Amino acid sequence: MLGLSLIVFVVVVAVAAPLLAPYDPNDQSAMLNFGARAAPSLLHPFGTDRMGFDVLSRVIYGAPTALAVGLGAMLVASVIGVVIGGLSGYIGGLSDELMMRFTEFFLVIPVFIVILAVVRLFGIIVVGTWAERIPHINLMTIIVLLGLFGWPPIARITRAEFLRLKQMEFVEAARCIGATRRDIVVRHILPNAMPSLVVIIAIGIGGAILAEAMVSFLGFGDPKAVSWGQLLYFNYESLKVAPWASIAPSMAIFITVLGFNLLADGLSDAFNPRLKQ
Amino acid sequence: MHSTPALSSKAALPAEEAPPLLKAEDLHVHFRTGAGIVRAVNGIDFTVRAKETLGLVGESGSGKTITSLSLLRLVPRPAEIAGGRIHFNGRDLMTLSEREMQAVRGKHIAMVFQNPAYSLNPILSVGDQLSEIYVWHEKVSRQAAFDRVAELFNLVGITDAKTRLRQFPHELSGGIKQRVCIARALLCNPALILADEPTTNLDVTIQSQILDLLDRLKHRFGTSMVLVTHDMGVVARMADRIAVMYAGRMCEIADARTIFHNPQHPYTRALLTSLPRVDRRYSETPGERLPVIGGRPPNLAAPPSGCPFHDRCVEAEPACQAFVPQMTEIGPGHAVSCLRRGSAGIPVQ
Repeated sequence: MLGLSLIVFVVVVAVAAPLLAPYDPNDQSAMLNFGARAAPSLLHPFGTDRMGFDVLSRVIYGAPTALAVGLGAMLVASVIGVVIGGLSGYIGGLSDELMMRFTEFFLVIPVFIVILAVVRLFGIIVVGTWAERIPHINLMTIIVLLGLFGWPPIARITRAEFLRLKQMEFVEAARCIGATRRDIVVRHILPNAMPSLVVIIAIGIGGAILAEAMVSFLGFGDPKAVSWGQLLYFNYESLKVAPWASIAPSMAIFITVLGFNLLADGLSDAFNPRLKQ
Repeated sequence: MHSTPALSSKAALPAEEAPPLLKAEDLHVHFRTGAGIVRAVNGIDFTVRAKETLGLVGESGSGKTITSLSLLRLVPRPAEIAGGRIHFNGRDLMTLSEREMQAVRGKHIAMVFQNPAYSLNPILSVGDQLSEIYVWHEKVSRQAAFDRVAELFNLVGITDAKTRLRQFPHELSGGIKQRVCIARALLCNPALILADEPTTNLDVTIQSQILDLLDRLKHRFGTSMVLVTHDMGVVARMADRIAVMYAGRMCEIADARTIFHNPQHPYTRALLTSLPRVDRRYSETPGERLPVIGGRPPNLAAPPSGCPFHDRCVEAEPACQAFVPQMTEIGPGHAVSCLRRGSAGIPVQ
């Protein structure tokens, strides 16, 4: 329940960002009045940061970015993971063997290095081309990459569930009653695999948000997007002088990731019929 | 219109003269395992006549369930149908495409499973999962399908059908679930129902109700039934004819009365004498033990040569090891595969 309330809170903040934020996130005017690194005050509840941004506004505008990253990356990862894991578990045999070795190959790649390298290279390649004009192209690259490297756990869970469910008598019964292969997979196996999938996807969302924060913290984030990791990147050097500028985005990351992890926990309990009274 | 059972589709001939509804010829099912080929069904022939109940009996592992699944061409991997023909309503099911076969399953041949608790999808309401099948097979509207399901729920003795339609399997008792499964099998008014131990997982009073129900519905709709069971009591009550299987082969086929009163194959006799009787006392003293069949069921990966039963058979002679007995008719409608009863034998290579 706590997990769900945290998530609802973050989502509401993200949706209502323009209404809630006291300043424009790109408003650096505080700097003009020598107001950078100002301590929290009524004017700036969370203070201002090194660059003269209002920290509260930046943290609020970071919420939609974080959710877009988490949901977007997991959408990509779920599609790939469910398709590969599902095929693997349903077909079995040699294809299963091959696809699972392929999945393991993705698991041993040092994902983080690859993401940093690709984001950087891609950032250079698009300069001067039409792709540069796509809004948030850098952020989208990060989302897609997190998805492309985040699917193996989902594929493994899907495979395990499909292997279990395809042996179930009700699946055999459906086959005996003339159900097509598509019906079997879409109506009988996949919905029964959903509880486990939803749980691992919820954990994955938290993971993806954290990963984006790390990428941004290292300075590889989208310079045009407002992201919590990037706030940390801008402000960790003035940690001693203006700790509020680092603490606020850290707390935001903490709350969101904790929320998704608790939600996953709650979902796995909710789907467990033994725990229902 | 669609709800009226098509009784007229089956000619009102006496069972003896009616052409067989289903005829399986030389059916082989193999499991390809690491240890070699296991012949789970090894060349069996049988017929199911219109409106009759054929009891398929045998011990665990004798191939009776695999036989019934092979009629739907749905043997579980790693098993595969290695040969044979299944004539059904003038078509050879073995030659149909997978797509044509899907249209047969559930519509013309339906199945009732052993364990009703596991044979319903836990996350769909029973009304949804049954009406879906009906929509798919009969191409009717969802509403018409729901009406049909409700009608069948009434027929199988589920009270308050409208409420039950919206319930999920875990909200129903075992007996009701099996009634739902029977309703599912009858949905499209099939010509043949395969019932695989339909009462094994139910308690005794419910068993009796379910058997009555199956019998009543079978007569009402003129459906044929293949009843797979190891329970001689159940076949005695339900079956018109009985086929006894052992180690993937057919031992004896005859009408129920003959099987019980004049069994010929030594295995059939052994099965019947090992049934406990109500009117006898059993104890550990030699004369009062419940008779059992000596030895153990054959290992199908390395079956005994010749007659598969010879090493447990009280009447075995040396020839039983050297010849594979073939099903031979020894009386009207009574076939047996035993060299001691005059069956033809094929020498073992």
